[in-house]
Amino acid sequence: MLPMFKSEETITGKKLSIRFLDGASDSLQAVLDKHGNEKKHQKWLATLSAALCTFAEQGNVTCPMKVSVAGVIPKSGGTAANKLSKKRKNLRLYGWYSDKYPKVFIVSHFAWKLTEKTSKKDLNILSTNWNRVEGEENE
Amino acid sequence: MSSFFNSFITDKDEFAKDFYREYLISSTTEMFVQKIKEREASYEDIAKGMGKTKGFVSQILCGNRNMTLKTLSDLSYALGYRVNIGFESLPESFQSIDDLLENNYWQASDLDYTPELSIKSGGVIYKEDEKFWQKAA
Repeated sequence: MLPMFKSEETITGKKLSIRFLDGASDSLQAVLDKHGNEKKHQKWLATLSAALCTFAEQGNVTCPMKVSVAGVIPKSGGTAANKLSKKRKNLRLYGWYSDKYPKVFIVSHFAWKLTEKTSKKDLNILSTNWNRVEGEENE
Repeated sequence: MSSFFNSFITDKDEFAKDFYREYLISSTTEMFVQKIKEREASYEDIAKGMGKTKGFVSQILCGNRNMTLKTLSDLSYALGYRVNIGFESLPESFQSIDDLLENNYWQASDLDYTPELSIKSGGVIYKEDEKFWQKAA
């Protein structure tokens, strides 16, 4: 496993493994520092982690959080950026299905979003992270 | 073992309670979504099978409406399944979310007969044979 992943953090299900990039935890902490309170944080995290477990176990998740396409990762050759988000809630997870590692979903970062559209900033973070994991320097 | 969320959890008991509820919702809904795909059924077909509107089915499967046990059973029945619910003891403690999910506790069992209004490959089958009712009873 590449050094930017910690194996003990991986969520493994029957259909997928979900790996978190090394900056993902900091981006989640940054969102929680700015939004909500401790009680809300626990509920958000329970919903998020339960959705990720369903995603890993069944290969998809649609309720109450949904995996959907968020755009195309710049400079990736067409790889779709995916997001895990919930209606009316603003904590969002960005990532992609790895080409390099079969049946692995890579979590790039978390963000607080008020609009449906994926921002350039998030796409740029995805692009940088995609290159770190899938780029030629890691062949 | 996934320790990713460990450092964010401040109240393990409260987190576990919320996690189990959210996992039940997401995993149950996803099972239905996948069974519907397997049956190649549309929301309209299922709505007919349940005697409900397409909007009702959509709201149930998109998480905008809480699913009652009655709806859970009727939706399963329309797809040709019965619901089988079991209980598992909670772990005494947990170190990561993996410890919370040693066993899944919801499953759908195949019916051993075809219900009157069941979805098969995208269509609703109307079964009117009286013998069916004797067997079902």
